[in-house]
Amino acid sequence: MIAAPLPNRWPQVSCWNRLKVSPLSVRAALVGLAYFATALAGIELTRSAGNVAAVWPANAIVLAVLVHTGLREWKFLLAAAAAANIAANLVFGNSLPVAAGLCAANIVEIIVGATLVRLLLGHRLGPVSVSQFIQIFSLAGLIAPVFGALLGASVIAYAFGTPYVSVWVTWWVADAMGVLIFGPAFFLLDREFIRHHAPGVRLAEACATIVGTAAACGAIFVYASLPGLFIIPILMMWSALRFGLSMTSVVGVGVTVVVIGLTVNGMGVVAQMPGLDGGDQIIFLQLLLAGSILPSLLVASALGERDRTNGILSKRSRAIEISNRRLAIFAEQRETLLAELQHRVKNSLQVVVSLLNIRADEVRSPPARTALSEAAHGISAMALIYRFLYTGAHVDRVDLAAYLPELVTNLEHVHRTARRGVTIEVSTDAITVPLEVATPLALIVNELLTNAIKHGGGDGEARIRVDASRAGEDNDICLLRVSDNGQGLGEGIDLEKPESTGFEIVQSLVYQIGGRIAARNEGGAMFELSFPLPDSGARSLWGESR
Amino acid sequence: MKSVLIVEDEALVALDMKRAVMGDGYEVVGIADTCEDALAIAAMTRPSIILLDYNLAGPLNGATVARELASTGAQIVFVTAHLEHVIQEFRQQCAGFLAKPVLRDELRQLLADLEKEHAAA
Repeated sequence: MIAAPLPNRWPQVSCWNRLKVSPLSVRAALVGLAYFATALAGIELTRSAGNVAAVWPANAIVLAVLVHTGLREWKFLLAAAAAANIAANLVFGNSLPVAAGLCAANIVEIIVGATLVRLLLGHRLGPVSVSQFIQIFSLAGLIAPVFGALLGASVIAYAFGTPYVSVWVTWWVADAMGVLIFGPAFFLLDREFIRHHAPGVRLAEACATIVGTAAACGAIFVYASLPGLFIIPILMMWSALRFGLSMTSVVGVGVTVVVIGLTVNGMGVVAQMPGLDGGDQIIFLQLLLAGSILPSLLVASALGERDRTNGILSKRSRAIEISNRRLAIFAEQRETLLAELQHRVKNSLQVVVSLLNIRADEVRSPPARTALSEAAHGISAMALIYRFLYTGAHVDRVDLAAYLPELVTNLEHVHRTARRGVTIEVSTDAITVPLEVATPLALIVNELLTNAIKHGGGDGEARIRVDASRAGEDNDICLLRVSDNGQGLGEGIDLEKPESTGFEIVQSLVYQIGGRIAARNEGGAMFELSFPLPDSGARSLWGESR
Repeated sequence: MKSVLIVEDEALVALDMKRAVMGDGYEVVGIADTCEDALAIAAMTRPSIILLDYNLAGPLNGATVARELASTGAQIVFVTAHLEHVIQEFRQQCAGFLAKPVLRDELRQLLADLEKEHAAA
């Protein structure tokens, strides 16, 4: 079965999608109810510990819904939240003006937080990176509560006579904690998370971790002394390492509920700490929760980012691997095709050589037999190129340092039987030439060597030298010399107007590769061929007039 | 007189080889264009030298029967455009290798060298 990929739009990756597709009235009612319930819990804490809650999760819920909702619907959802806020305050006996004032402070805070998050990150909140995590919770958790605290502290200070600064600080910390601890659960609990964890053993393990961690924290909180509280961050970190950001956030919510619930009921190490009044207890609790939960959330976020990055890299790596395999197959096919082509060329040339040999058998005239034989040698020289093309690193180029010695060996081998002795020395620089140069060059060298073997050495052993080197200012010219120890060239020989067919062939081929050839006597005949090396950018040695 | 079996599916090439070796005094016991024919002729005539091509008519190639042909006591000379394929595998079993296109002089020279080696042994 192939899982359908999730489209790249937030409604498909977020559980808020379910909320979004339901009617607006239903969504507003749900938001109102959720806000009311969490506000009751928050206000309950307010009654137990000064006038400000230790943690205020209600705003985090609405903020998360707004971030995932279109701007046009904000006013309805905010109205539901406002109504719930006022209702919760009225239930706890606050006057309507106080309830309205506190409601205004909370609504302003929610609007500021949701707007900042939407402006900076848009509404496509899927899996977030560490930097996005920090941005979201800095904007919604640290900056937005500043505005809420300004208004809310004013209302409380005016209504109850509580010192403004301490109320402001407690409000700000409580709302920041609400977003930081409860926020990830609401912001980031998406379908990916649910699909990843449910159903199965892992979901059971996750549920057990939530309950177990909360229960363990409760036990530690009640029975352990103050240093025992350091176990709580370790338990939180376990969730971060094992389950990722969303689940860590849920575990953090569980721990928060347990710890605050116990303190409110006068149980646990904080409630029984001597010398701490309600306000101090709140600040201590806030610090404890922040220190225990926030590091684990950051670690979970970083691990999630690492896993996503690894996933992307792994997918890319697989794609590259597949691509490489395809390339290898193509390369292999190309190699096979090329080898087959080379093989057919060589076989065809063999048929031509054989045909020439068979025809030569019928010919009685020695010059005619020689001509046919030399033609066969020329074809053999050309065929030799294909052997080096195929085995060389570059399939369309020939390395003269490899090719020339082999050609010379073949000719030496063939002519040794016909003459007294033939010795050919070869010296070449590292020069490679493309096929279109290699083929005529092979024929030129074959002709020059055949000529040198014929005339070199007189009646003694023919000693021939072949030197190929780079020349020119930019090493862009190949200089090829073929010299022998024969009688030398006769007077008045003009290579520009060759009289023998051999020289005419040479002259034509030299012209074809854009080169020049000169001949002189130096202890025998010496032919000097120069031609441009195509890759060097050199042009024909014949100039523009060619 | 040494006898030669030519295993080659190109008729003109086989004819050229035949003339070349006969010109040097060898007896050509047959020309085969498939592996099956080569094995049959070799079994019947027991040639001293077999000139073996790699690509042949029929489903099998020269490499598949090279060892079997060598087991008849003949000296195997691969004559092929596929030299790179066979030279590694049959370096031990074969007496010589020639890359196509082969010149008559090259073939004659190789056969002469083999004869010298044989005489020396």
